[in-house]
Amino acid sequence: MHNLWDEVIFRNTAIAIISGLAILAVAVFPFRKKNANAKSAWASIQSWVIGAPIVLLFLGLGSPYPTIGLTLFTILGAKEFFQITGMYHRTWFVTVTYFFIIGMGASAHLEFREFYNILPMGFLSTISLIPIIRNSAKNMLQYIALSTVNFILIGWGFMNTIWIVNLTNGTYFLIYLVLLTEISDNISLAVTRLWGKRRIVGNITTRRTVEGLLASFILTLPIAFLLRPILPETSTNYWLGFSLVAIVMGSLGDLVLAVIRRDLGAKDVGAFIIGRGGILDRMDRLICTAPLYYYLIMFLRQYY
Amino acid sequence: MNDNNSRDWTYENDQWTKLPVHIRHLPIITRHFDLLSAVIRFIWSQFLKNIFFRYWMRLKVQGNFYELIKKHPKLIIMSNHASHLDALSIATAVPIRNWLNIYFAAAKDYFFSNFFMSFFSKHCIGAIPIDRKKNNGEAIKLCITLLSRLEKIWLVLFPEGTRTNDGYIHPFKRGVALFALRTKTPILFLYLQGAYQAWPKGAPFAKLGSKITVHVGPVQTPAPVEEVYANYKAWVKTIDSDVFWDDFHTETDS
Repeated sequence: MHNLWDEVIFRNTAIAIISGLAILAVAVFPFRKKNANAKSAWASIQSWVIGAPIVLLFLGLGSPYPTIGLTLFTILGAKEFFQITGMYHRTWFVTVTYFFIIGMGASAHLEFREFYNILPMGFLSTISLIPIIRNSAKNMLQYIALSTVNFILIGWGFMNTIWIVNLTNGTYFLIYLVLLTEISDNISLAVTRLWGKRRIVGNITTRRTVEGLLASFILTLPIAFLLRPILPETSTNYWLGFSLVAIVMGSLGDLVLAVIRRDLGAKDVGAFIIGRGGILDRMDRLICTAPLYYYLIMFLRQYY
Repeated sequence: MNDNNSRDWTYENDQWTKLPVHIRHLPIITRHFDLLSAVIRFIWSQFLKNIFFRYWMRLKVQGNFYELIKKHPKLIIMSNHASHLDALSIATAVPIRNWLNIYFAAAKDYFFSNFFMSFFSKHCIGAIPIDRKKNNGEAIKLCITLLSRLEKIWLVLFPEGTRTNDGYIHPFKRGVALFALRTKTPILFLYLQGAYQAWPKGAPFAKLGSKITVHVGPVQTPAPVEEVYANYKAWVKTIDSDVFWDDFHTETDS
């Protein structure tokens, strides 16, 4: 993959995203201390004003930098998962998980799909050896289970983004996916805060309501239509399919992480760049979205 | 189902869910190996040793830290405080293998003032935030907890409390002696020579070509602050005889 900064469309996309964030930041700045909603919006914008140029820089540099960047980001997400599950000081499990995530990044980069798909089995076999090597059984089933959930969800799920980037013009598909998931999530959250009454799963999270989800459907679809010039394929099948995946699977990913957080009694463990939540908050929607999105691209390319 | 046999999973995540964000990097409840910190500290150490203290200014170490690592895995390191270079000089002087065991007491309002400073303070210097505005005892608790819990820790403290305005070493506050006595931790004396001339308080940055010498002194057994100060003064006077504020001023001068 060549340096995308040489392409006019990539430069224009990057400029449009950064300019859009800058305009948003200027618009929200005077109201940033007005109330809790404004504070939250300002924190979110701040994080992306700093985060977006870094992400775009990595993506634009071309192979292998997006793979390296996404692998590092996955490791940071896995680290945060270990922290909230109280396993971060279990160095053996943490090290093996990082090692396999790096292996997964390498196999995705080299496009060894079979190897990528059997790595979770290899991972399970390897961490099952840790109690034997350590001659300890105490809590080991718990550690193995949590490490496996971490590896499958954060590792396997999120790292499908590398497969997306490695497709022809894949970077544009990934940018489109990230934009759609962020937009649909922010619409859902904003409407929930302002008008949300009917909670979807009230025992798990208060951040998701029927009103928020409906607004997300109604508003994300036309935005997806407007943003479709970013895509290498602009036919209706693509932007419509992608936006549905982003809305439905994005919400699902958020809920899956909400279940885990609620059970653990953990909100987040740190701030991503500046502002809202931690690394997992930035990843959660992509965990469930990325695999389906990748296979949808493959399906549409083959049959449409 | 027999309830006596049922057992819930216990998540040992209090370190990450109960503690305030600014102290989660400190091993207060559980101790972890942070790969990110290790990598960043390695890069930072290489920058300090091979670039900053080679091309911008010079650092000389008088004494042997290797022997101290072997003999004293747990130490309170105290030094005079004249400049922002003090912590950097001490960190650079200490062998890299002991870097993950070094903690610096650092002003919260400066070293944790924003995301980037917090990131630097957590990952590069293992900073323990000292809140100079609120005297709620959090810093004392943190230092004592770390000194009590950890088998290997070198805690760097500046007993004057703040950087000197005039280049003199001022009388010590009670903290260092208190921590040492409560946790039975010996104190290592350091004297930094030249830091005030290199980057005094109020100057925008360190002067190019300046020189700092880190003098490694004797190890003091835990004792009251008066005794610690007297011994430190006696040792420093063998190197520099006219650097103590109280030799030239009285309490009323301040």
